[in-house]
Amino acid sequence: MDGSDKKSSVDGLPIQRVIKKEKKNKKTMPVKEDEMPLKKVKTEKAFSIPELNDQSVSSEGWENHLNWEKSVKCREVLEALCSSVEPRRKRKPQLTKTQVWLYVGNSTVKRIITADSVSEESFDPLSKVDPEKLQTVLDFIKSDLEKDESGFADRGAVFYLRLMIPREAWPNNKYGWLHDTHMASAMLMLHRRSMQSPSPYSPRIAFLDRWFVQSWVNDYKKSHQTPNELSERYSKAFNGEYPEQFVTGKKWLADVDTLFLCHHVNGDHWVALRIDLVKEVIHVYDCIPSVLSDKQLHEECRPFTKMLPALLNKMVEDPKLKTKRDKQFTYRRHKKIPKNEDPGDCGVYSLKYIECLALGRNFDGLSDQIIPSLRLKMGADIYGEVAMEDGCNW
Amino acid sequence: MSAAQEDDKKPGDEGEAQIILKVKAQDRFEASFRMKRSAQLIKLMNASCERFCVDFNSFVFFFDGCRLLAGQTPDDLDMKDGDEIEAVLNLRGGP
Repeated sequence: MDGSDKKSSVDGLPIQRVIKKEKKNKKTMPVKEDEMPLKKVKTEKAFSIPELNDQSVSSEGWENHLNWEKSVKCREVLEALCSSVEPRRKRKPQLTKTQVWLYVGNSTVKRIITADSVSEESFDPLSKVDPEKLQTVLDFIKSDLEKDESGFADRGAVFYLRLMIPREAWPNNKYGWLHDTHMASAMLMLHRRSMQSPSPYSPRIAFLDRWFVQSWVNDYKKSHQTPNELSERYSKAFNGEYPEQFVTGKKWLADVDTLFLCHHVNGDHWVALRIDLVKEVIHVYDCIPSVLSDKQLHEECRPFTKMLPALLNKMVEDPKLKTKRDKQFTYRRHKKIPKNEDPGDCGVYSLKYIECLALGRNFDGLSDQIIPSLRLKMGADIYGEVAMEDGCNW
Repeated sequence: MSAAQEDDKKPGDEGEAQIILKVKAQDRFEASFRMKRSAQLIKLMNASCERFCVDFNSFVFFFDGCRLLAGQTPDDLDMKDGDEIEAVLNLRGGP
């Protein structure tokens, strides 16, 4: 911009052009240009409300939007992924004890065998993708791309392509960065697993909705809230009644010791947070330490270090649990953890940190080498467990 | 920089059940759209992204604290004229 201004005054280039460009910028959202390519602003009549009839939103936008996804290149990548899936073979049924014979004991006294443990393998955060699940999601991606209008956000092929396509096939170096929608779906999946009975996780943990966390951070930025100003949403969240999809019915502190959440920092980076409500400590897991210094990251965690004590002061009635909470939660950054040496996968790392911590296991085995496989697994699991279950037809 | 563009509201005069909805992004940007009450909200989502000059899928939409699904209609959600939909940026991170 600076260069072009100077050039125009020297060379006598049409100044109009420069002004027009600035005008256009005024109408745009304050987002990084390289992140979200700006679209042409349609000139519309002043003071008219656009009517959204069937023709008003042209499919032209969608076509442009899916340029790469509908390209031969993308199809090749998809085919490569499909061929990596082992050919479907008839599954050999492996019956559990209860399926072979439903009862324990002799013929006089019969008692139904109850399931007493969860299969560890199905919840291993670092295991390989189930070929059948992978095939299902790949089939969905292909069929979605063939439609005139691809599904919106996490209901569309793009959501899965960004999550699952290996790094070397990304059309640009930010293509596979995870979005809020990815983090939200993954957190919802973990929450659903935690509500299963039996659950792979401790009953005293809770996963926070990504959209609630985002609004929490925005609330903090808008006004440095005092305890009295905390809205009803926080009280309901404390009681395990909010947001709707994340209802646990468990109260923080009384029934829940640990909260897990994904936090978006620096405008372009994901970190995982584990909040210990009892010890009043916020543990931060950051896979790329060079993005933010300790001080900067601490600052990014202020919405939680500051607002949590206020919330607890407001909500805790039990005198045994009620301690003097006028100081902030302690911030602790963990440094001896697996790192994303080839940056671009901080979203995947953050989610896997949370999954491992929630299971009470260490991070052994988590590294850049298995990220492509983890991306496939995450896509297949999300597709199977949360994203499409409400039966919308696209 | 206040780029908020609030359009004047015109009364729906087409006879067929229509609704005017307001989309608000980041507490600063607003746009109003008129649509059929029985039309899918995907139209409004796409038009909002276009109006706010961001890429498709850059926003996620909420009404009354609940995430909007593209296949829902204003009728499904009992929306009223002038109801406000919140557009939240779908942030991304990676480096």
